[in-house]
Amino acid sequence: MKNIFSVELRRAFDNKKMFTAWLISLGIAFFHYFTCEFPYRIYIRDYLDYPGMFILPHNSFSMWLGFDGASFYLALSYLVIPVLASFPFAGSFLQDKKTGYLKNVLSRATRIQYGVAKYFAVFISAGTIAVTPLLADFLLSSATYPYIGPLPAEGCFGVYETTMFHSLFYSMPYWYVVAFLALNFVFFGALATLSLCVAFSVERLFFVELFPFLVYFILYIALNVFNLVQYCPFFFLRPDQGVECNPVFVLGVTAALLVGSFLFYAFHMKHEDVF
Amino acid sequence: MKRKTACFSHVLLHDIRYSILISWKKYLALFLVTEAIIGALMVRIQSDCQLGMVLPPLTAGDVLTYLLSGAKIFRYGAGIPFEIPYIWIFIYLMIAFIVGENHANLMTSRYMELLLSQEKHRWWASKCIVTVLDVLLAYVTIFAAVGISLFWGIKPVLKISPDIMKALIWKAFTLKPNQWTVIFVLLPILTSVCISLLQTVSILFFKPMICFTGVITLLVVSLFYCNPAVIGNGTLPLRNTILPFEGTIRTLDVALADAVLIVASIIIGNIKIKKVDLLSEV
Amino acid sequence: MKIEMKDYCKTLRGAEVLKHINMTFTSGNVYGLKGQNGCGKTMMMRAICGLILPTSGEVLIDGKVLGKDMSFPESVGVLIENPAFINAYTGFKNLRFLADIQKKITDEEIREAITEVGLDPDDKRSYRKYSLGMKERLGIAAAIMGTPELIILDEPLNGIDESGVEMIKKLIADLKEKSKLVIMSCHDAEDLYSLCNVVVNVSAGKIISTEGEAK
Repeated sequence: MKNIFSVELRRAFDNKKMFTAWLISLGIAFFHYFTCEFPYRIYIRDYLDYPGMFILPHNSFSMWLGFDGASFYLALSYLVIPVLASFPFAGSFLQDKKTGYLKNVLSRATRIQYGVAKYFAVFISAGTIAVTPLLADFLLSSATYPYIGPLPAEGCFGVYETTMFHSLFYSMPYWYVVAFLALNFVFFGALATLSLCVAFSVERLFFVELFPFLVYFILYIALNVFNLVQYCPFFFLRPDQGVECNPVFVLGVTAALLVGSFLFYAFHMKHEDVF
Repeated sequence: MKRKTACFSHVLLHDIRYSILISWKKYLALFLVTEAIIGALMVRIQSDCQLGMVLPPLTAGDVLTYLLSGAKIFRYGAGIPFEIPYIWIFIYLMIAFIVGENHANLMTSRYMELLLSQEKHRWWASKCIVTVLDVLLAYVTIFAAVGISLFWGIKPVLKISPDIMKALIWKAFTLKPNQWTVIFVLLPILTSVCISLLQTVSILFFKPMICFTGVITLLVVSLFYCNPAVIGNGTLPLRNTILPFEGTIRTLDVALADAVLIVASIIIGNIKIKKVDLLSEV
Repeated sequence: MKIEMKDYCKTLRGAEVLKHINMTFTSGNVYGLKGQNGCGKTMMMRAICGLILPTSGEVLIDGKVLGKDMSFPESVGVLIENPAFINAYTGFKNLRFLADIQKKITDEEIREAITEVGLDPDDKRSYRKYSLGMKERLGIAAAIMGTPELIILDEPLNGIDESGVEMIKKLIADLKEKSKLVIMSCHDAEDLYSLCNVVVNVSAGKIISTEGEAK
């Protein structure tokens, strides 16, 4: 089991598509940093030279991509991440079936071993790509701007009493960042595994790879049409939130997606014919 | 010799049939979601009326304007959130999805069609025409959805009501029919054709998923930057200088930029297809 | 039909996949390409079809340069990996759909091609429900429908049962009788030598030797 898992992980991470997805995700972080963060570092000096200034200085949280709802980078990230997350490896199960690689593997490992290894390789690779822009940007902004704990009175963060983890944010902001990175990792990782589920019935690679994005996008549209944006992953996964959301609902949906997709995939993997 | 050179019309007809076969469900989804959006709009107008607003009955022009309006100019500033108009992004990403899936295996398993077409430039020309037809059919689907909604009590006139516009898009305005047609229909179609052809030609160079990501990026960046050089602005009629929303997009500028890019895409695609190796990897 | 490969070289992603290929193919013969995996057999077939362009050298088909005077051979049927068929269509409907690009192949010819590969032209099952062997046979039927002058088959016997193999062998023999030019590859040496009158040994992108005589 350990062998096949390491083989699948290596296949997931050591390929050109993964490199391309990394490049684009890091590109989003770097472009955001160099256009929206780096130019404003000169103003830090002002706060040191004029200690009586009435406004709080820029800090690593206020300048972070995760809280920059005013530029297009955050919205772009949350539209592009589901595509990039599934691009490297989510279509690999379909490709394994088409090329006959699956038959080779199943003569050397059981279906369950292959299925579990594949599932977790897709989950981990997708989750890694999903957190890359936010994590990279946070490291860059932390390296440029000082740490100043966020204050509710600032009003420049979309985190209020009715949003998720608000007390965590104002008491332990780094843990808030970690919590959202973890949430994004798990949600987008689980979302990408939907490609594995749909690969049993669809043989078009483009559709299979894009399926997680389609689900995510359909939810975005439908929940906007019915004015239920607080239930939309596009909003509740963003650190700046901006909508009232219930953490129990969010965690429940994420867990349901993870467990549901795993069970569906495992069931079909066990019973499906392999040609 | 039994097999003779294929006629261009046969190649084109084949590609059109293929496109419809692959994409009819997506057009249906576009139709149904558009109907849902129109339904939600009617509910909203009704509730506004119940709250005391005096609004005239909805017209087909109002509905189409609402669906195709996009967004006003975005002014970057602290505290002003950047929002993506969901109807606009839905329409253009559906088109990108249709075009993307139609051409996803152009460079891989569709080699038989290329061989039977005999000439590469003929095959490429057919693909470009089908891309244009995909965009046009998407718009026809939207118009058909509005047409069906006439049975729900929407007045079958293209005239837009200033009061409805004020309620929906925050500012009253009127337009002459020809102005409306140009900035709400013709220019967005031209821009959409441009974006779709760029997507098609980029599939010759990159993976279809990366091209789709490129389209998403282009659309989002267009929302942010109100500039005719950022071509997605052609799909945002509210930014046109004709309308009172402080937009700076001139019809002629966008049309010219689109035309140049369309021609460039076709030429680049033609050059690429003559030199490309079809390795038909899975 | 006469196909000449003159000093054909192809480099892909820095690797030389075909090196100074010089070979002539003439109608009325069945040529078999023999070699290990990755030796360049499929690349040679792609080169002859015009699906890849040479780094140097050329392919001449009846005196015309492929890639310059013509994009593809005028009358060719190819099976190099399964082509993109429509999952919702039956086998017949799929071939009809492809054949409509040229509008020269009749329904009867399509039915004949499907029968020759051992499938039922009236089978109502969609392509989605085909087994691997059936998909392979349909790919062969797509290549031979309309009886083109040049037929290229890359490992046509893969995934096909014994009776199917016999059927395909008979089909290839018939094509040879009809003075068609068939170029194929196969892993089974016995099948290759029994079907082909010329066997070309390929290794590391080069033609090492040819066995047999062309008519």
